[in-house]
Amino acid sequence: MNNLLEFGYLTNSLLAAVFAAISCGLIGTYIVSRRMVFVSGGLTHASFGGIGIGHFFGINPIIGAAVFSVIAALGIEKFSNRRLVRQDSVIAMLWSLGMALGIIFIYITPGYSPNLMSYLFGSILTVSSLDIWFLGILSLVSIIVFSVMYKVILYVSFDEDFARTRNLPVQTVKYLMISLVALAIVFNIRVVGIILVLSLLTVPQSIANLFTNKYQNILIFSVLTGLVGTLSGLAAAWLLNIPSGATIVFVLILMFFLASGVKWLQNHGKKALI
Amino acid sequence: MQKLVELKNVTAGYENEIAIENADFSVYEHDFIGIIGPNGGGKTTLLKVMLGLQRPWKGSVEYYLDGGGQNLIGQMGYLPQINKFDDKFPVSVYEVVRSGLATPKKLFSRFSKEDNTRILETLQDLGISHLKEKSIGELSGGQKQRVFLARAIVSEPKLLFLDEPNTYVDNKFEAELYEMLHYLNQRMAIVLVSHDLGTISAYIKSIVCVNKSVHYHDSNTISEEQLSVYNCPIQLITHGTIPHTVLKSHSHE
Repeated sequence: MNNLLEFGYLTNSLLAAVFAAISCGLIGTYIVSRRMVFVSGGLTHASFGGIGIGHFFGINPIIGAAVFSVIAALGIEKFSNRRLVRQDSVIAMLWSLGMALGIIFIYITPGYSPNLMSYLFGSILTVSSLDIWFLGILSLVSIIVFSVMYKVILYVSFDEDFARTRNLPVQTVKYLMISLVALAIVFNIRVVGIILVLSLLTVPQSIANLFTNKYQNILIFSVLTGLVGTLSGLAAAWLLNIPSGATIVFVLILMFFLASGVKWLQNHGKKALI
Repeated sequence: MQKLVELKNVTAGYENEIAIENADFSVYEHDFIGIIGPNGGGKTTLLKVMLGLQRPWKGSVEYYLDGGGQNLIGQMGYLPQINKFDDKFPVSVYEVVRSGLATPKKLFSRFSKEDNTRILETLQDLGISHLKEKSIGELSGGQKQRVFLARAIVSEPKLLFLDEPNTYVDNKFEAELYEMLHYLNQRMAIVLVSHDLGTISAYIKSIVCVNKSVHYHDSNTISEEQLSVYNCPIQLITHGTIPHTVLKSHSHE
């Protein structure tokens, strides 16, 4: 019985690691290429407000966070063209407002308070089947969106105004993509936590970008590097009995430094040959 | 001559600030209009309003292109200012030029063989075939301007809008660019935003002065007196034995 339970945990963690690599590899490419890392950081922390509200009203906190983050994301996208206030200041406010709301709502909820650490730093070893479903569906949707809409995503990301002169559905694409960003953040909170999720969305892309300059290749390489990072991080965490989220992030960043070294040697070697 | 676009008393701006006022002129077939004016005077706003990227607050922009203003895709080419681009963006020259042929209908299908031929021909015409596979960040200013010009004209538009194509380039490229535009002008009307008028005035057919107020001037020469009437302080380059620049500025209001 114990073995079976352990087996179940392990399968769930493995699935979570695979789906995290797929969803973050694809959606992270959109974030990195459009330089939306700060917006994404804001959404990540804002989602904690949704977790708190969900907890208070007795809804699944991840569903609460998903609703809250998608609304925040659409709001940011809608008002990002206005010049009344600086966009980065608004994001900073949203960033801390989310954290504040989360803490207040969790505090005023009577009775047992949840393990905050698991939201902040993730706990891939205890992901539920529902979490796996969310991540799996998100991964599938991301694959479909990026293969069917590849061109329009690329064109809108590169030059919105020009895409408008070609009558492309710029606003629709931006709303769709920012919603996917919000969902990717929320569903991956289970895997590596609020504090660490941004690295899943940016480190694989940075590694891929060292070796290729093509959008399509960055998408594919990011998923592959993400897979190596999450799976080996998970294995290391399991074997050494250390926190999984932190281990995955550590492994990914280690991979980045190794890759930078390889890249440096490549350039250096070439120069030496000439 | 066929009218392509007509601005009727257009006022436009951002948030609470007016950027351009009472723009009232038309662009005809084979026109070559130079838009001049000081920095922050509203040149780019005027261009964006003409392209339909920004809605006028007052007045209207009417199109007389094929399809009667319903389907303008591919009939207006646009070369934006290149300093707004991210040099690290992972996209190749070929892909950038190909985006000039994108339409909502073609988004989900593959590009055709004809499209590919057209892209290759345009790259060849502009002398950038060898850069096809390069990513956009690897190019020099002049090469980038060529790529964005290729993207703007690959669809053979009726109207070409250029926003300062002569920045970040050397004199040699600038001269080549004007020759290219002169040649393109045989098949399309051109509206060009420029910070100076000196070198290009020979090819321009008319001038629009923009400094919040918008004045249409139906000639390619303009005197300092006229500029002052139009309230348009810009750099006038005069030609003499020693190259020199005469800076003439008028205080606004």
